[in-house]
Amino acid sequence: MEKIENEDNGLIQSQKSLYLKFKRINRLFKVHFSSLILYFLSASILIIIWIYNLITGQLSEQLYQIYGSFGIPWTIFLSSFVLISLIPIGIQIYIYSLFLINGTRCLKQAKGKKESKNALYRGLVPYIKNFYTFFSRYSKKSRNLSMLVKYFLIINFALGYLSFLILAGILDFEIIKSFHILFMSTLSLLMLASWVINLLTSISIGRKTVKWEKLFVSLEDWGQELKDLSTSNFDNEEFS
Amino acid sequence: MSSSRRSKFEIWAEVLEFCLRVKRTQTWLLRETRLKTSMIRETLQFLMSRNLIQQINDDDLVKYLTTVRGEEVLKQFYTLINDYFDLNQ
Repeated sequence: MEKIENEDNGLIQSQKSLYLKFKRINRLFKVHFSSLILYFLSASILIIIWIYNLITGQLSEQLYQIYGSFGIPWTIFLSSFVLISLIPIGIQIYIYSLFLINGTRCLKQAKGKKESKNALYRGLVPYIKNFYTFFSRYSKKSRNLSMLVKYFLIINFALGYLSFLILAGILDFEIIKSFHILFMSTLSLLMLASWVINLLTSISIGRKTVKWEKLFVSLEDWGQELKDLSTSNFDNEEFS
Repeated sequence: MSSSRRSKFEIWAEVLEFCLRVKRTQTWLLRETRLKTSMIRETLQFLMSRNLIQQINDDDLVKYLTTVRGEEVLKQFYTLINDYFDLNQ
């Protein structure tokens, strides 16, 4: 029903190009989202184990040997800071999750209903709608989405230092063969790895967000052009 | 999970795309776009007034189909978006 005879139809080519670009963008957001989740989970588990070990006194002696009297206060300060830093990570997870759920559904729709390679792609306009909703939900008059994404980038960057500090602190312990310390080292390495991935994707998204915001102004202009279209000079072609 | 407030250009592009090469009834459009009846009527009226969509009587049913002009407008829409999603820039 939706097949066309001319394979060089510009609309199909345009849709195909856009579909592929949307797939790549969705993949970028998926990687970013996955790195946020991984960081959040590994940091949360690490902090829980760390606090448990502190309370049960398993780490007190080692901390005193390395840091002296400042060992426990320093550890409490670091742990609290990491806990607080999980809040902006959690906010980012919430913001991106809705966007991803809707976007992935639209792309599946675009892929699923095609009966042949020359058929139209459905689901692309809903994907753009999803994008627009995402932007307008988090953009306010005093702050647009690209600024918000920049704040997230700065926070994510700072989290890297925390991850390094935690890893360095854990590796200071001589009893590396202890299961607890080994597990905590693995978790902090995971934190670090997910932080690196997150930083790279944050930078990429940040750059693109600035450009995408201009798109919506252009789309509003497109809408205005439609409104200004004259009602004369209409096509006389008939479709049966 | 769509936004309660949608911009007009989204709605126009969506209806133009839905009616491209396939005749659709108003009921079908209502279901797919999840718009209110008054809004879909207003949209169809607007698009018909700009000759982007035409009304067709098909077996006693009123259906809508995107015109050639409407298809051109939709192509412009996609071209515009393609430029902004060029990942190499």
